[in-house]
Amino acid sequence: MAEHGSIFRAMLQEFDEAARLLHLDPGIWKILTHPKRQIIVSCPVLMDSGEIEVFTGYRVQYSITLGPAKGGIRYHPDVTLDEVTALAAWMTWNVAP
Amino acid sequence: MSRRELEALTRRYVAEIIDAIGPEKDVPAPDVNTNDQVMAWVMDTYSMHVGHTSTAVVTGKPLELGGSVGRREATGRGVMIVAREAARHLGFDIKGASIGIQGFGNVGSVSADLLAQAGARIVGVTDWKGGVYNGKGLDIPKLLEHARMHKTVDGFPGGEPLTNEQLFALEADVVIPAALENQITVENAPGIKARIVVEAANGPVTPEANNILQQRGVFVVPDILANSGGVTVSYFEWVQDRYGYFWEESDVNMRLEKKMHEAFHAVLQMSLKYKVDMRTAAYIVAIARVGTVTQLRGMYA
Repeated sequence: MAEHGSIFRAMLQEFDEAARLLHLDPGIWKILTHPKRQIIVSCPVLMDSGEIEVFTGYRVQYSITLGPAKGGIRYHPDVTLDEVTALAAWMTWNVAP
Repeated sequence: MSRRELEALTRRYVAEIIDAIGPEKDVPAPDVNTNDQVMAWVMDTYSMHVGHTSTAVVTGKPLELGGSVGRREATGRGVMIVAREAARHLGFDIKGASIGIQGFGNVGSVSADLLAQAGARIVGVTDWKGGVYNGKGLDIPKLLEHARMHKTVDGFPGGEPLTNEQLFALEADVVIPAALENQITVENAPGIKARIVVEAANGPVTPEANNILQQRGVFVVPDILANSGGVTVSYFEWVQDRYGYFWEESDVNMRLEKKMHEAFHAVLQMSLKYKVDMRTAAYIVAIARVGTVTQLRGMYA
């Protein structure tokens, strides 16, 4: 994804346009454009080969304003904190539930 | 990775984030390369740590341990519903409409199946390996069987080969990107002939490509609306787990239909009111909701 730049920044572009039209309060605007909590962990795993591998894991809770955080676990070598933050933000902006 | 390695990784990851998750705190779910078995390990690891069985800590679980009927199909069902509503809004019927789909994983395959059942013609499907085209409409039950056996739609005998570039340039009424981010770009957006793009994946259209589609009058159903069927039924699963009472599949599908229909029309009304595209309108609906609650709750300190 690196060649396309930050996915989170792309999310913010979408957000800003809507927030402008809504005349969103500047303080609320600041709050809603920052993730509530970002966690980075290292997960050592004993592989079948007998060697130890360490996998980096992320969990981002973008907002818990409406209730518990909610979102997917993605296993992919290209996963970044930026991508997970954007995915967490999109969960917050999900329209239907 | 082997199954044992995946289980070890999953349990270690859950142990590392154990203080941050829980039915009242944060509820994980499946995404790319994770499935109901992985969610079962999440549930078991969390339950072992807290000392009792806690099904509501994670959704997308197997039916046998607190999963919901209709969860696996939920994102695809939501995609079908918004595609149908978008077509109706533009004045045509999804029955008989032609559709191209990128991706044949859980979301793409279920979308194809349900749209075909609704009478649409699925003319093109591509995936990680290749693709297949049939102008008369692909035989989706046979394609599902082929994909199950070969792990790809490529080489399906009921059509001709199709590339991703050809898929996005198809003479179809609807194009559905159901794979990964950044698939419709400044390179292929000018060639899109479809009247409707339904973002089944997260972020499949780059912001620059989105501008091109808007200028060309393509009706884009944004990801935060189009793929919200999955999280909606995840919410239903969490509700059922906490309630300890499980619904019939017809109940799940009826409630999902109602939520998606309401969401589509709330966004559509907002887009007409503010004279903006569906993406900006969807953000307006979401930001207004979260912003109002943030204001009501106050700053704490």
